[in-house]
This record gives sequence, structure tokens and C-alpha cells, in this order.
Amino acid sequence: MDFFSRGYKGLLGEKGQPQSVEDTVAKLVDRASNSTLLEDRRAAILGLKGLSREYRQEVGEKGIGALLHILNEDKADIDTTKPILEILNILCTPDREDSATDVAIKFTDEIVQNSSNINLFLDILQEYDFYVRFHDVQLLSTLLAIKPDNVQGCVLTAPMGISRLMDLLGDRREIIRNEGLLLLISLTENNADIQKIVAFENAFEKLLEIITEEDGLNGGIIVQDCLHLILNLLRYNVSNQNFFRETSCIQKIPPLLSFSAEYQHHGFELEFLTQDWHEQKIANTIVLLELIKILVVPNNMNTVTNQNVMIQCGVLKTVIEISLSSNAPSVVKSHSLYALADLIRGNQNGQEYLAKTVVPVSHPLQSSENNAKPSPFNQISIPPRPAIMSLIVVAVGAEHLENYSTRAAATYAFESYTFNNINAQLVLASTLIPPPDDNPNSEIVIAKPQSAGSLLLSALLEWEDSEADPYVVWFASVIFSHILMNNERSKEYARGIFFGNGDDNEEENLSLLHSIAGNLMLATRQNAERQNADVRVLIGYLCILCIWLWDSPISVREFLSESGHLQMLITSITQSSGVDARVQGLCAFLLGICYEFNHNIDPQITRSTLQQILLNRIGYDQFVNRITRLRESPHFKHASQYLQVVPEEVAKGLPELYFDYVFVEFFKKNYETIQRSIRDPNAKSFSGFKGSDYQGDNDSVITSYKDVIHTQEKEISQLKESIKQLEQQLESQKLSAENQLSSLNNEIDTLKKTIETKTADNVKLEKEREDLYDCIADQEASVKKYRERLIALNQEVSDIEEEDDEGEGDDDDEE
Amino acid sequence: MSSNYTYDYIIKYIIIGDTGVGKSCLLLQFTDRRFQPAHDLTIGVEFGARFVDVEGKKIKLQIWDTAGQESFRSITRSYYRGAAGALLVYDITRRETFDHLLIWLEDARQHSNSNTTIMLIGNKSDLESKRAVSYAEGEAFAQQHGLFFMETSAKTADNVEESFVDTAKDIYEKIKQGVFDVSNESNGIKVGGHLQSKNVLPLTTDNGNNCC
Repeated sequence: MDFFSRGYKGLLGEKGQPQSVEDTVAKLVDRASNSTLLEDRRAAILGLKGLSREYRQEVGEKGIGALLHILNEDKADIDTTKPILEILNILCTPDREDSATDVAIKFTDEIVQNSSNINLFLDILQEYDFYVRFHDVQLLSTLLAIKPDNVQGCVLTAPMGISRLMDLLGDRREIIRNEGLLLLISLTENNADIQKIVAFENAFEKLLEIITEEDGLNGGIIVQDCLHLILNLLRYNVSNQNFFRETSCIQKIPPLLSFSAEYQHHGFELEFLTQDWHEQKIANTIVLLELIKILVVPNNMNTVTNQNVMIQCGVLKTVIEISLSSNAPSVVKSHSLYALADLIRGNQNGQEYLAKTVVPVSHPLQSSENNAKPSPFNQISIPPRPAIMSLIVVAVGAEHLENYSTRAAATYAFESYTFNNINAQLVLASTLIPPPDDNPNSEIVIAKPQSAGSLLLSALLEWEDSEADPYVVWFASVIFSHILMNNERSKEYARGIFFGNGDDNEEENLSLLHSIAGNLMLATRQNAERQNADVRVLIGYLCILCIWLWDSPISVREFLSESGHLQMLITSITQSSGVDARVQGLCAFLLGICYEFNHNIDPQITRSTLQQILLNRIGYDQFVNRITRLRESPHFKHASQYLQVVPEEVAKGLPELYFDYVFVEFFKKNYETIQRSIRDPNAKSFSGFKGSDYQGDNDSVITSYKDVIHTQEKEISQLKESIKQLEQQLESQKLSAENQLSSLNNEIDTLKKTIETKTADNVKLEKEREDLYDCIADQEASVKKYRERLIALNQEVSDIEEEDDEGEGDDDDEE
Repeated sequence: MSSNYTYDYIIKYIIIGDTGVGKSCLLLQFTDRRFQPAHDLTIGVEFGARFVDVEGKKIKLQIWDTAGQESFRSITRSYYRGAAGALLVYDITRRETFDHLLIWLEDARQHSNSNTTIMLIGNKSDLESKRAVSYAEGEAFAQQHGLFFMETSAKTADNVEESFVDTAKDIYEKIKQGVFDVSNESNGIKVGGHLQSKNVLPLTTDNGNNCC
């Protein structure tokens, strides 16, 4: 009391007259700085404090410098420190109405300009007194809110600064701890260096400890704040993310999500499935799910490592349970489904884990029928089903339990499951055929048995009810597209599906592809007549067909085998009004795909026929315009990458989801090729085209790639030219060589023939000669014989010479 | 898998020294066993971790690799106090990085815990032909200031393992002797959960052993 009387005496003049405020403030500042007695100084400070709310400007202008000086000198004196901190806090807190021109900004500037002031406040944190600490933390928060950069800079360069602030988290007095937490949250916003130092000071561990002490996610707002701070430390900060993982903090997440090693115990499972979700718990859970997502952002370098740790330590398991079998409210479930999606995206382990998981089915409908309290026993008496099946059930809204945002999240999770996962696509495609009705395993289920695929197909084809909820078809079409995407074997399975009245007569049975196209035709007609076909249904069907026919000549042939299909596309494209521009664009794209992948298997409609139709009946320019209008339509351009529903849209009725981002990417990658090949009839069809997985969102990157492509194109055309020349050269050379060769061959032939005849002659002559020799020999022999006979005869003659002259005449004849 | 996450001790290190002496490369060689000749300039501070074995104890080293540039000096100071080990690195081919050691040492002594083990490292020992600081000089400096000393090559991995492990050995020795208050994590040491829960803080048990 004494303080007050002394202080306020200053307000009175010598004659008891009130003084001006300026004079009073000046007098108090003077006393606070110069009085010899500590008590007088304290009294003057209290006096200033009394004036500071009402006369902020006056006190601030005259007093700030002096007060800071006193604080520096007398910081050991709690009774001095406390009110000064309070005054500074008041001076720097802007009035709500007019914060931009507020004097508070000026005073804050004045204080933070000198970094030694911030250091002073950080030093004062060592004081344990409750009010000193409290006001000091508040003052730092106030300054930080107005001048974040300066304060962050000062704290960063004060070697002990952050470690003093971190000590606040260990303060047993809850108010101080909570204020410190809030200060750290704003301090770590957008400053990676501070984030790292805070993490270095064991923030993760300390915060997780507090969360556990405060009863985990069931705890109050303090838990949310702790999680928020962890989030700040991890977001965009790879180094801290590594630190978080390396210090085994990921392993501490599952217990927080009510996961336990004792989960197998039935009682615990019930407890888990029937939790009470109060508002704060919802908020806490959402921040924690956000935290999980930050560690597994698609395409980050560390994502796969983090995913694997999370799969291994049970984060994925808990997230699946919250998503698909807990009693969590929709808003939690949709966050949880998005987290689930990122946990398994592109990760084979995660995808396999999800595929193997079966989840209990909670069925609130049943308990309401019983008209009793929702009994957990009823809820889990329905046999569990595969998690994948549950995803589809949620996405197509088969049980009418979830809102659009949760259904979109489930669809996105499904997409992540099939992303880079050919086996998953095939397994799902193989379930498209409905299981037999008399399946003995399905007795318990009242409804007719369904597989994941058959459930999907029935949702896909039930478009007639789509006025109220076009998203049954739309989500089903997105899911179905992901089963078919770039997978010819899945398409083959799908081509094998027929619907009919049970007859085996295939002529009357309708194939799935034709059913979808038929539905599209009916829906198009109804849409044109402003009846109950939402444009989303048309878009959904068209997107499926584009993905189905892409790079699949057999499917193209099947599609074109019904001439009405082509007619419908042409009619839609050529209408000048009354047809949605997006639908027209998709029709044009689909027609282009039919052209591109028509390998003339069907003699009825060949590539050139199609081209003629396209150029004559539609015209190239119109064709391109339709595609361009689709590309420029806002829902196409701004398709949500994560298939997210903006809550405000739902409030207005239906969400504004028209295109799946994956389809948009697929379209962007390919539409130019389609356009080019139609314009240039000689362009080669690019069957077996496998596009790169390039996903660029940066214009400069795109242009740089375009440049590269241009130069490469030039190079290619040059090379092609030179190849042509070389080929020609080769051809002519080949020709001349061939000529030469054949003439030489001829020559050889004739020579051969001559040789042959000559040899034959030779042989003949030889033989003749031989014969002649023989003849000569014979002759000689006979000559010899005759000579001998002659000699003998001569002898005889000489003997009977005189007797017989006729014998001599005979001898002469013989010679 | 889960055994990977159990440890007997966690020890925090920092790596300091002029820019371009190879701090990040030493860390990369130690944690990933690879060498990256064109390493980006470190911005602020980067983190790495690895297990080492000292006397049968599983010790997890958490290492903060700091930016050597002058402009980051004020930020990196915040890490000194919480570290139990510091690797002070210079480049044996650049005299000035050796000449700056005193400034670094002063900084470290001023801001760090007095029990911090400091290892002086002359890096790039593979570049013998360009050597500008002799081994003897490095050794003498270390001796004079009570530091451990080693010459390493982040490129060939020569002595890299040893420099980290020997530092850990010294710190573990200090833990056993009770030099550190291991209950206070701000000293850069954390005791594994199983050691804590059994109340067998090495302070008491190992002192007993030493008596025998």
C-alpha cells in the first residue's frame, strides 16, 4: 500500500492540482531511474505501470529506454523485474482494432532493434519466480508475434537462448510450461535453424513425455500443442526427420494411437473400437495423423525408409484400424485414410500388408434395429472382411456411412494401393467376376455375397440412381481405372466379363466394355435432356474408356465393333451447344485413342477410315479445340493431387471433384501425341508406347525439357535424313553389285558349260583312242597269227609248192 | 529389427572446423561408408547417426555436422553445450585451416561442457603431395591443448572409423569414472532404458569394479 501512496503522490502538483500526463510520466521515469532508495524506485515503476494501460504512448515514448536500463541493472530484484516486464508487455501489445499503425509496433521495433534486449529477456528466464517467468515468456511471445524475424534472429545467435526456452518445458507449473510451449511453437514457425536446435535440445523426447503424462490423445489442448510443436520441427526439415527416426520416436506413435501389444486381447480390441471421441481428442488425433503424413510425403528421399519403420512398428496397422474399423468420426477417418495412402504409396511392403489385412466390420445399422444401446458385441459379430474390400465399400458409399471427404480419401488410399503394383491390379481384376450365390462361406451375410471386384462393378453400373449421389459411379470409375491402368492383363480379365440373363448365349450377353459404353450413351442422352444424369457420371465413364483403350488394340476393336459407339462420340464432339465442354474434350481424346491404337484388326473400321471420319466430319481444328477446352477447364487444371474435398464445397451440396489427378497426368502426357498422329497421316502409330514417369510441375523444368526435346528432335530428323541417304546409297550400290554379280554368274555358267562339253568330248575321244588301240592290238595279233600261219603255210607251200598253186592265192586274200 | 532400436548409451557429437575441410564427408564416410567428392555446402547443421560398439556396449552416436562458414558460426554455437564429443577438423593441405584452430578451440571451450572430449582431426591425408601441415605439428598442437589427434582421409576412409570410435571410447571411460552426470541429458549423453530401469547406472557398478 505504501508503494501506491508514494507513487501516486507524483500525480499531484505542489498545490494539489492535477498535472499533465507528460509531466507525471517524466517525473516517475526520473524517480525510477535516479532515486537512491530501492523502495522509491519500485514505487515509481509501479506508478508507471498504473499509467501504462491508459497512457500507452506517453509511458512508452518517455519510459522504454529507462525501463530497459533499469531492468538490466536490477534484474536480480524480482519486485523491479516483474512490473517492468508487465509494462513492456502492455506497451508492445497492439490494440485489436488498428494493429498496423499501432504504437505497439513502434515500441516493439525499438526493443528488438537491439539484440542485447532479447538476450536480457532470455537471461531473465533463469529466474525461477513464477510471475517473472510468466511475464517474461509472455513478453517474448508478444515481441515474436510482431517482429518474428528479429526475435528469431536474436534467439538463434544467443548460445544459451534456446536451451533456456527448452527448460520451460520442464517447469512443473503448468501455466509456465504451456506458455513456453506456445512460445516455442511460434518461434519454430518457418525457421529451420531454430527447429534443428530445438530438436537438438531433445525436444522430441521431452514433448512425447509430456504427451504421455497428459494421457496421450485423450489429453487436453496441451497434447495438441505438443504435437503441433513436433509438427513444426519436422515439416520441411529432413535433418530433423532423420533425427526423429534415428531416436526411435516413430516407435512411440502406435501406443499413442491406442495401439498396444495386448491388442489381441478381446477386451482391448473392444475398448479400441468403442472409444469416446471428444472434440479435443479429435483435434489431437488429426495433428498426430498429420505428423505421420509429414514423414511419408510421396517422392521424398527418406519416405521409403520412414514407411518401412512405420509398417514394422505398427503405425500402419493402427492407421488401418482407425480408418476402417474404428468408431472414429468421419473427419478423423478421412485424415487417417490419407495417412494410410501415403504410408503404402509405392511401398511394396505396405501394399502387401494392406492386402493381407482383414478388418472387423462395425455396423451401427444393426444396433439401431435392435433399438438398444449400441452393443460392441453386435458390431463385431459380422465376420471381418479384407481391408481392400472395406476401402471400396467406403469409397462407393455402399453402406451410406461416410461423407464425401472420407470417400474421396478412401479412393485415394485405393489408388496408392495400386500405384506401381501390377499384382494388386491383377488380383482385383480377377475378382470382377461375382462369387457364386451358393457360396457356403457366406451364410452369415444377409446380402448376396460379393467380392471386391463385383461390388465395384455393381456400383459402377448403377448410374440410374446417380442424381442424388453421382459419386457412387465417379469413385467407382476412378477405382476401376486404377485397376486397368497400363495393365493389359487386367484389361484382358475385364474383357472377359459378360452380363446377361444367365444364358450362355454370348450373343445376347453384354460385355462389360459394351455395358459401360452403353451406360455412357444412355447417360449422355439423359444429360442432354436435363434429366437425372450428372456430368460426373459421363466423365467417370469416359475416363475409364480412355484408360481401358489406351495401348490396347484388342479393346479398341471391341469398342469399335459396335458402330453406335463411334457415332455417339462424333455426335458429342460436333454438337455446338448443349454438351459439356469437358465431356466433348474427353470424347475427342477417346476418339483419338481409338485412332491411335487401331491396328487395322477390324477390316470394317481401319485407321484410314477413322482418319477420314475424323478429318471430314469433325475437322482437325475442331478436334484440337475440344481437347484444348478440356485442358483449360478449371476443374481439370486444378484437379486435386490428393483427391481432396474442400469442406466448403460439401456444404454447398456436391463436392467439386471432376477429375482424378492421375488421369489428368495421363492426359497431359499423351494428348499431344494423339493430336500429332491425326494431323500427320504418315506418322507411325506408337503401339507399345511406354511413357516416362516424368512429373514436372515446374515451368522452367518443363521448358528446359522441351528445349532438350526440340534439339533431340532436330537431331533425330537429321539422323533420319542421313539414314535415308545412306540407305539410298546402299540401295544403288547393291543394285550395281547385283548386276555385276549376275553377269559374272552368267559368264561362269557358260564357261562351265563349255568345260563340260569339252570334257565330254575328251572322254569320247579318249575312248575312241582306246578302242583304236585295242583294234590295233587285235589287228597286230591277227597279223602275227596270220604271219605265223603264213610262215607255216609257206613251209607247207614250199613243201607242196609244186603240188598246189591255188593255196597261194588264198593266202593273199587273207592279207 | 526391434533390437536395432535398443542402445546402452546415446552420445552426441558435433563436428566443427573451417569450411571445406571435409566435415560432411567424414560424417558421410562414417555413417554411409561412402565418399562424395562434390559435397554441397552445408547449410546450418545436418544430422547423422550410427551405432558403434565399445567394450560390448551398444553406443549410438548422434552426430551434428555444422556449417564451417563464418556466417553460420553464431548458429552452430548453440550445439556446443549439448555435445559430449567434438571433432575439430582441419585440412592438412590448407595451412589457414590449421591456423584457425585456436579460434575454434576458444569458441568450443567457451560454449561447451567442460567435460567434452575433443578430437583434433587432420583430414585429407590422402593428398600427401599437397601437404601443408606436418603430422608433427598437428600432434604438437593437440598435445599442447589436451586434445586427441588423428590424421584421416574421408576419401579412402583411412582412420575415419577410428576417430569416431576412439572419441566414443574416451567418453565411455569418462562415463564409467562418473565424470558425466548422465541423468542430465543436456550433457550429451543418454543412458539406455534397460540400464536406467534396472537402476544399474554405470556410475555405481563400474566404480565398484574399478576398486577390485
